[in-house]
Amino acid sequence: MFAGENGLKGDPRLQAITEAIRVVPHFPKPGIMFQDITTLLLDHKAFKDTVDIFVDRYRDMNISVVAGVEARGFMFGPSIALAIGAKFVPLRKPRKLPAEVISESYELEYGTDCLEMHLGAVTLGERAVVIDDLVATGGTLSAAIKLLERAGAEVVECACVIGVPEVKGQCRLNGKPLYILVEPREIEHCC
Amino acid sequence: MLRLRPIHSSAQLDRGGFLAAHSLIRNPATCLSRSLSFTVRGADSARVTIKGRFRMASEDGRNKRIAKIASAIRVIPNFPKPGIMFQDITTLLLDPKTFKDTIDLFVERYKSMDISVVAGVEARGFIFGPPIALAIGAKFVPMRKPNKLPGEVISEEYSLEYGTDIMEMHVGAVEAGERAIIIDDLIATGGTLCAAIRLLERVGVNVIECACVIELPELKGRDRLGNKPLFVLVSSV
Repeated sequence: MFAGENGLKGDPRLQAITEAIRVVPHFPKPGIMFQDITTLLLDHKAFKDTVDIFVDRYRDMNISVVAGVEARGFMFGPSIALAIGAKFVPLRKPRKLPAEVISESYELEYGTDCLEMHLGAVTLGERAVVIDDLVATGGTLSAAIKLLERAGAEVVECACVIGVPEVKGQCRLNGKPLYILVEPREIEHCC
Repeated sequence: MLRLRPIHSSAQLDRGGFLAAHSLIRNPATCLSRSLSFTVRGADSARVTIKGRFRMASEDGRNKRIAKIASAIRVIPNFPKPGIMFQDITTLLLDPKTFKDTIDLFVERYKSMDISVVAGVEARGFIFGPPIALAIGAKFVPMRKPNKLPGEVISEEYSLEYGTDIMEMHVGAVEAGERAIIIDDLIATGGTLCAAIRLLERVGVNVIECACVIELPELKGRDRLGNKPLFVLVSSV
């Protein structure tokens, strides 16, 4: 679900967040309009508002795990975790985590990739949210959900700053709710 | 598990003065008072040495937090290759109070130092940097491996044990004259931090300090940073 249509309709913070995101055309390849959140991180108020919106949503939902997808999920997840008193669990590319891991592979446009989580990071029955900067196909988030569920956690929701409009019709991922702040910014709206 | 010793590092009294404590606390949990040698440097560079036995309440609170942080770090032998004792901070992140204490210790240090930029080195610097930046009102600037940042970048090459690597920063992320700190989870040889310092200084930023959770002193990273101050919470020997 999109925040602007669920509880935060007309919230000026959402407009400021949208405007703080930079669109970089044709990255990483022609035809892709890359949604660059690094400009959001340069805008202290907008960055703080982004974190606060997620914190307000999750603080009373008994969440004990915030899982963030490498690497841009690391930029948002820990602040949320700290504010709601949850642990932060990094979900990483292969061979980055030093101890024993569980792995989940997922489809890319061409080929596959793999997401890993430390064994023992989450325990049975913990309530978790998964954070990433953007959801497009949902492949990465889907792998993240599977990892957490294999470890016995309950994924309460996936949360992203940006979500492509296509996810509107299908506001669930593996049956899990998806919470998104803004749609991708279009190039003609940029300065 | 290797024993991690919490160490003192400099605490800034005000913009012009420094209180540097030259004492290694071996067991802060049982250490109630200790002999400390202090050098106070004023803005006019006068040096006064104060010696004596005393206890600072705030210092004990700090030491308790640092001891907890040290014990929350997990050492993984022989990762990524034989002979390396890897300092795993993911276990620290699983303890909300201890993770918060880690961030608070950095925030307490930097909140009154007019820092407008917190630069974090990919990827573990991304875990500690943003919470610090948000708490002190600074922007967060990710320093990334090549080809990750989508906009125009400046690049800095640096040495690895075998070969070289490249670190990148977005053009326009920072402005000349801004005051910055650089965050990473750990300093080893200091190569990565040196590259980050160079990137920021190339565009006219004033790098005030580098800050890490962990230092591996035997690798002499502190020396490699030269005159750039380094603040760490725990030292691993």
